[in-house]
Amino acid sequence: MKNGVYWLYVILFFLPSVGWGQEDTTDVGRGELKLETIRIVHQFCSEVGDADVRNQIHFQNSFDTKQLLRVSSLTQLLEQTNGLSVRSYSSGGLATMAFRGTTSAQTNIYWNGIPIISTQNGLFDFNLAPTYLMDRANVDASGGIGGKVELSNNSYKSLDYSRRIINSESQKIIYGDEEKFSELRIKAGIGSFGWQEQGLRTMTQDSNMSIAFRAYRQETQNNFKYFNSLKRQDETLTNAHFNQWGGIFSTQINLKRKKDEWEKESRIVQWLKTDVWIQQAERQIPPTLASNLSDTRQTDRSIKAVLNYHLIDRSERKYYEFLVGINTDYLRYSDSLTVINSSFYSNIFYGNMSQSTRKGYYKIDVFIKQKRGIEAQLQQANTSNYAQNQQRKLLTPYYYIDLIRKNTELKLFARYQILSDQAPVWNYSGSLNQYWGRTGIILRASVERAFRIPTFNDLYWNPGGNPNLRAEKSWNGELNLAKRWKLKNHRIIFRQNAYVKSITNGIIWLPTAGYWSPVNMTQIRSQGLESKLNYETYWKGITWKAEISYDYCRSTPVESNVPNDASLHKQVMYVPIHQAMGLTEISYQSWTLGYRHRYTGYRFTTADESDFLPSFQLGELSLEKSFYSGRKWKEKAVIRLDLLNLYNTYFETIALRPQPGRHFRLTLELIW
Amino acid sequence: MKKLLHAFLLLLGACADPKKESQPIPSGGGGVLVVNEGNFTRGNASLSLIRNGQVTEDVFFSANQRRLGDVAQSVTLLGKSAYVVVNNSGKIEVIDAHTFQSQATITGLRSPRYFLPITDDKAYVTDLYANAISIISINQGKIIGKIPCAGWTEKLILKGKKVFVTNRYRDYVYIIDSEKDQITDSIPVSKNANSIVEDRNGDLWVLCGGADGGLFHLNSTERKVIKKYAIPSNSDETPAELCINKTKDTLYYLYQGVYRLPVSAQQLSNQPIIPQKKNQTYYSLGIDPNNNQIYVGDAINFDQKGVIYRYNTNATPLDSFRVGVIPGEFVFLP
Repeated sequence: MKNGVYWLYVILFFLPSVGWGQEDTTDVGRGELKLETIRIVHQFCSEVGDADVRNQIHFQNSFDTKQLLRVSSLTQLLEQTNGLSVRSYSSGGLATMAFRGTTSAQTNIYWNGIPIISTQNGLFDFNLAPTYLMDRANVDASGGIGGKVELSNNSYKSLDYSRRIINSESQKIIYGDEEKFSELRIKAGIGSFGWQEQGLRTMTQDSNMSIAFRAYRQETQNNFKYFNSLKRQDETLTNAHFNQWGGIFSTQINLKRKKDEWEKESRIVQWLKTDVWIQQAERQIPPTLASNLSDTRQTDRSIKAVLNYHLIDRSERKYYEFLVGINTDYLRYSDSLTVINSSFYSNIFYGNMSQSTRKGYYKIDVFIKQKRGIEAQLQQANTSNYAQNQQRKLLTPYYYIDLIRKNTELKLFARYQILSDQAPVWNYSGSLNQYWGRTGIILRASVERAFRIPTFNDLYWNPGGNPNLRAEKSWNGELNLAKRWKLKNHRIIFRQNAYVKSITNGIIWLPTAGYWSPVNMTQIRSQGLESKLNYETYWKGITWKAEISYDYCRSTPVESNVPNDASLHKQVMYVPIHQAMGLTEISYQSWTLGYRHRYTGYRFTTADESDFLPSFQLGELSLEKSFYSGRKWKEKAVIRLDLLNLYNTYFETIALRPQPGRHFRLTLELIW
Repeated sequence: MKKLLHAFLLLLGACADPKKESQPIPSGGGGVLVVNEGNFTRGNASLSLIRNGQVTEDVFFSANQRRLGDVAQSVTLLGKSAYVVVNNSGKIEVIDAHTFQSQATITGLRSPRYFLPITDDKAYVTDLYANAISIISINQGKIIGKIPCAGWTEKLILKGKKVFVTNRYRDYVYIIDSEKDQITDSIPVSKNANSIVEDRNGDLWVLCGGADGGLFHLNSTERKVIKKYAIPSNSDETPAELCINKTKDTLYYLYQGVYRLPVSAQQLSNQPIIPQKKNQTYYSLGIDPNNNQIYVGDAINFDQKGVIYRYNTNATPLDSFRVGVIPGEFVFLP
């Protein structure tokens, strides 16, 4: 029955898209692609890289600065993103995400190019990544068994990037790319359950250098009420205070650069970019529905820094990048009731150098880009649960080639990771993209061999760590289709993804002698479909956007050597089979009204599908008003009201961890 | 269009939540109550009833239309009631041992483990984190006092007016004077003492895990160790779940299988009477006092419903049952 639904879904959504595409003769895709290529050439010369073209082809979710400024944490954004399953313990509590039926630890997270996942357990807490500090976030299903998330800070023009207007005929920037630029933004917000936030973003730049500083503070009591279904009584969440502050300081010095790097090119362009991110979070961890009280507290401190040197030799069409970074994390966990008081320290020292070359031009559709490089890592960790300080060295040469000929693009990537405490592992991928510009169709097929090395906890936790663990490996296959229609003031984009993942050597912790120990045992197959339909229209000053999306994910163990194992071919825990979202947004002049509806299907909380968390639907309403001044419609202030969980739905994303009911957030941002 | 509508409805149907339906509790008496711990912090503890060869799942939910709580640790029968200690919910559910309907809930406990009636109105409850043993008024259904005892107090046994308490964090069995509610003495064993039974001679047997662990034969009157049978723990298994049959002359315990030991034996057996197969996780053990049948609980991978294997006295397999998540204890109903 479930397979029947799967194939019915394929027929319903895939074939009609191809058929309709053949009938469409409007010249839409070509023009759009042309506009994109202009951006790409510019970005190749700047620090952003080729993110936009990958957005188009990889069907990844990408969030620009404007989107990031609208929410307070990445968790809020990710919860609205299809293909992802966000697992949040509470508002302000630990929040992790998993892609397409994988585990949270299988997703790679990067900040400005350096890995920032915990070496201890492979996780990253998305509630500790305030979006107000970031300029861009990319969520990509490739780049690891469970995909990857890339957070980045732009040191130049990032604030205006999302509003840049490019004339596709003259190929000139009309707005948003001035050499001299300075801006100050101050944000303050209040909301239900003692929520408050303060933010500051400032940037000043000229053709020689830029300085940017972003600071953020958030605090919430989280003392919301809920009905405890276990105790059959109304309760108020206790021990749930969350306090977080942090800042990112970025500079970029242009060592040799002329006024306009497109039209009056200098031969050598080079710049030095630095980013430093300091953050601290203090949180209380509330009791579960089944517990009476909790006195658990957690402190997270981190310092991250990146030094990045870029050099572009235009005459040779070569691009060099040298990057060094450090990520230090400190975590303290204490619980007076269970007499636990533990600390964890971790460092990642990271270095990467690469050389890129390109031949040909996008404009005439013949293009070869190659990138070769080597990265080195030293990972260190210590906690009282390890017998000694643990460390691991990694050396990873890699090679990437991107070939474009007319409407066809081939990408190949290979990396070979040599580890000091594990056998070496290969990661390679290939993708073939085909564009039909006249019909507005993009088709992509890709295959990837990915891996995840065991974490220090997996290897060295005392008791239970298993130093003989091997890396988890997976084969990922994906087929993507996009079709665009444009009729006068209407624009429609339909995206369809189909994927399959086969994960072997999956690490699972099993009980042994009164404690748990990890083994390479699980064999998981994950397959699914993701559909997204975007519609946008403009009429008499009114812009209306609508989006609907649906995800189907079936992730099951396919092999087991445990007697009487009832989890075989059953859905992996906490992975929803069905997820859907609808969004509509209407803008008139400076007003924007939006509504988002999210459906998350039931999720099993046992491996044999014997117990589950019920499905839930959430509605979110937002109203935004911008105030402008000046000839260029410079934004001066933005006031925004969000009504979250509009229908006051009771829901859990982790069993027995209640989430807040209906609540609001009101923010005001002033811009100079 | 009609087909499209049907397809849409089919898709909607596939999204519908599964239903948790309560099963009717079979009539009659007797049977075996399986205490399923459930997963820590997931609140899926349950009680399964095996009666007349049939399993009725989650009888607490069926009788009360609510979940039992988080980590059901133990059940003690007292008169017509059963005291279900729900560890991570910090409570004891008092239920009718026949209908399983809730009679009372004793709350305010930190992390309770085992319940032992001392008198008609007094019971002791051991605790993982409280560094004390709680004194409960059975009639009032509330905590009336504490007996300080550092460490993780575990199973306990009443012998005359003395209560012998195991402690997993301390290498002693503590002795409480139940009239004074005070610890008065102790017997040195080793750490990680997880279970205690009394044999037909009035001697006590304590099973301890850990590197220095083993089976300790104690003289409760003289308060000393008669003999220690070394059972070294290794990375694969630790001895646990010490039980005794109704005539109190044969001990059983888990150690990568089920071992049997007559109380008169001079040394441990080298071979289990029921070996644990590869990748099985024997987690609980019970001996039916009515017929000496052996019940073994397999927690499998701790994330799914466990399996109960039933054997006769000769360790010949009889049948098996699928019960709740992590079957941790057996209670044989009268």
